[in-house]
Amino acid sequence: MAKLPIHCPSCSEGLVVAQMQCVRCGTTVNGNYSLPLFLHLLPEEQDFVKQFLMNSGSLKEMAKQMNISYPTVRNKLDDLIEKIKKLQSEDENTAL
Amino acid sequence: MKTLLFNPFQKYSDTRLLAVGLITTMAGIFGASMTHTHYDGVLDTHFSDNIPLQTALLESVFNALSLAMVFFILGKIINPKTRFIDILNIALIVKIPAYLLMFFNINGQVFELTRKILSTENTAEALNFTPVNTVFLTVFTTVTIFIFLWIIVLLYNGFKVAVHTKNTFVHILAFVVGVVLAEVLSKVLIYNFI
Repeated sequence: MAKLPIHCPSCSEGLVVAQMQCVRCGTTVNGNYSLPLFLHLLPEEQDFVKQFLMNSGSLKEMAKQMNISYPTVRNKLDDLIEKIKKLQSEDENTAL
Repeated sequence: MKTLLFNPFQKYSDTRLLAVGLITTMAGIFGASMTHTHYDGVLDTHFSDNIPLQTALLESVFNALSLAMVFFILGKIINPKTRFIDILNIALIVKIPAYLLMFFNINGQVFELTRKILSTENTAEALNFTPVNTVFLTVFTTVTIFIFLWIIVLLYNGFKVAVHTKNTFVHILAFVVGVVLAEVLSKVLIYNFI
């Protein structure tokens, strides 16, 4: 399946969902839905979140698997937390 | 290779860095005593005519402690998640390039040449250097400058990984202040307790 674009290729503004379709009967729903927060993350960031869950949140295990040091993993996690917080506040501001 | 030489803290585990740091520190202490090399400060390397093993040991301990203590306190202020082991590893690993300098003084060559420079009138005729002496000193000076820069890069990268600093003015300033404070503290400890 093609990679989901999250930014407009013309002006780089964030994209929203305008249409959804049932893969069985072809029914389409049109509207204006925002993308879930985690879909705003880059593919490697989404992969990091997945790894974090798969390792039950053990940064030491992740460091071993990713072949990098523990503080490097922790720093990546801290950056991701910062990014999610920022996205969350942007979302809340848009909703207002 | 670039990561191994300039930022091993990003890739290698804390236990591996600690093991390498402790082994090289022990080798460095014996080497410093055998080649009469003083590591009398976090960033210092000087040569002498005799260094007892005990002096080399204490200098090494004071250097590591000074850097670890200053960087740890600064690290905790900037990022409370900073771990002592990551900071201690910086203090041990950054000394590895400096240990390479001791090889220049295996036969007391650097010490003899510097003593000659300091004890004679500072003219080329009075020094009476052979071409070999001149080439040796040129190579030694070039390598020393390179090693000093290498140590600074290692220190900066280590601090950045351990404390998660960004390249902001405040964080860079904190790093510079940390290095200066650690240098001063190591000098104070070495000159008062050895």
